[in-house]
Amino acid sequence: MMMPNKLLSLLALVVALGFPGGPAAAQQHDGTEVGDVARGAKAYGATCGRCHNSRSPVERTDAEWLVIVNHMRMRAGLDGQQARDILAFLQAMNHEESAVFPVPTPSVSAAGEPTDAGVGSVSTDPADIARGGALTAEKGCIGCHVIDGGGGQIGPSLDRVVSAKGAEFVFRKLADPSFNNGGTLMPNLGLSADEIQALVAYLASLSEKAALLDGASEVPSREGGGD
Amino acid sequence: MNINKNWPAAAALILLGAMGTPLRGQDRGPGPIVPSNLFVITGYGTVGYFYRAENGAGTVPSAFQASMSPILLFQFQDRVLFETELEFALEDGVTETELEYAQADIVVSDNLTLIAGKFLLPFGVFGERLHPSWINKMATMPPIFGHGATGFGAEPLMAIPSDVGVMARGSFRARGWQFGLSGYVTNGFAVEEHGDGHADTGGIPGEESEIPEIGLVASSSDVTNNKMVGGRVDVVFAPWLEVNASAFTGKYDEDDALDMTGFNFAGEVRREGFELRGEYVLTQQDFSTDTGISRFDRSGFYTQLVRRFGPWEPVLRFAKIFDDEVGSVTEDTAAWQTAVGLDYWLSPSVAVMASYEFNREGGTTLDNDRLNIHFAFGF
Repeated sequence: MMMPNKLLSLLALVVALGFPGGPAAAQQHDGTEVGDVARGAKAYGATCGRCHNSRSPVERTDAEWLVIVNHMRMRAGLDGQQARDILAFLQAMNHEESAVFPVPTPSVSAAGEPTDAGVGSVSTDPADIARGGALTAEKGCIGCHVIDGGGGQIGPSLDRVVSAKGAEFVFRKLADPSFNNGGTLMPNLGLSADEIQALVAYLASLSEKAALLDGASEVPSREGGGD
Repeated sequence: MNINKNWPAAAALILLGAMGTPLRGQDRGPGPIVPSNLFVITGYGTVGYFYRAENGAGTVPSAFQASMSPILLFQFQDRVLFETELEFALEDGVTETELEYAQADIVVSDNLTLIAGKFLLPFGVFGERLHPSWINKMATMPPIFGHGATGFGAEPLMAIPSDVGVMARGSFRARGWQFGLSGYVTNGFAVEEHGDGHADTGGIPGEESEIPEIGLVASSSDVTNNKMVGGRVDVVFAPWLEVNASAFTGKYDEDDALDMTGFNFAGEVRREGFELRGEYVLTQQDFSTDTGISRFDRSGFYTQLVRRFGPWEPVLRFAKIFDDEVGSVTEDTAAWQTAVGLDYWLSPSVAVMASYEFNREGGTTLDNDRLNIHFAFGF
């Protein structure tokens, strides 16, 4: 085992050399300083979620998140760029409207039965589908979920989520991730109604694609995991 | 070995390192503007009830419990964070207060942070990251850690370790892996003594007078004048796989003859909704005998498996502690625990937790089974 004074000297040397990251001033003036929301969403799920459930971005103010992310940087062993990315994500999702965004509620037909129209009908517009696909990267969904065959493992795969859970469930989940599970790991992303519409359109297209690949008209329900 | 001769030089080098990368909080170019100082309170707490089997001799059969741990954070400009965690707990009608940590974090670069003050030692990961019950997912700590009367048959290997000193902590990514390195120098160990000045021999089974009980308790003084050194290496191979290795060592006697050393290996795997983690701890303590210096080893491990089903989360934990006075580990000297729990999550940081612990000790018929019902919250 290395002797204590050698360890001490090594520790001092590492500090004196400024560690592999180099001087702080150089880091602060290059283009990588500003946090990236999509990277932050992925890092939020991958690092914070290693120890505890994800807290909703609307729980704290932007300034409070700055302090808390620095606090958690020490605990989770994040580097500076990861911390800035996560902070960017939390602050971007912390818009006031996200806290008050209304959860879509089912409409009621003349006969008093709920209809799909109230949660928004699923768009088949290619523009919506394309925008939804872009949003899964922009919002960092792919950091936690498998989407179109690839992505993270923290949450359930979304490739068949619309056919398995229904469009209404997906609408509601995107608007308020805790609506069916108060302890969900999924953060409230503060999505607008248009963004939810586009995401559901894209996810519905993935379900159709999966059904075609399965060679069956009825897609089997394989989305039992997660919430 | 006495490291004090090296201490001033090392301190100077550390200071030099910090100065080599000057703090430039007001000269940061593009990027978010940071207020000059911010104050935030966060923390966690627990209220609950436990019931222990009657034949756990000398123990409290049942009790309600409450504790609260506020964490005070003060951000000074963009490079310095002061962190303090207090713990308030009710013990036998008296409010116990504990300073869990009080530290200054100085961000030197994206990859390096210096820490000074009282901090949780990066020895394993449970103590530093997981000990709040809403994060731990069980009402009680794994028996290898914890405070005194945990209901477990054996003494825990150590309390959640913390100490006063300085630490350098780095984090960097390479080839898709993330690495963390921590190294620290602290005041170190103290021999807990009775009022009459004789070494306390409690807590070490099988020894009446020769093995002093080592208190890994933080102190602003250092009676033995011997510093402790230690560190941890973290490797995150993927978001679902992390391993850690930690060690510390230090002298604890005034003659610089007796070592206390600890090793910890930890790991975590998360796949398909399952979360499996565990830690192994080995402590080696020298002690004087009539014929020279002998060594007392203790070791133990815990492993915990969790699976989430919506708001429900079953938890299974198994732990074992070995006392190995003579170099041969046997079942007769082991104590072990099997715990089953069920959590219900009301929000991401608020849960009702119920668990039942089967506590057994080798070579005895002692039954220390324990039922815990807790309400845990983080804020």
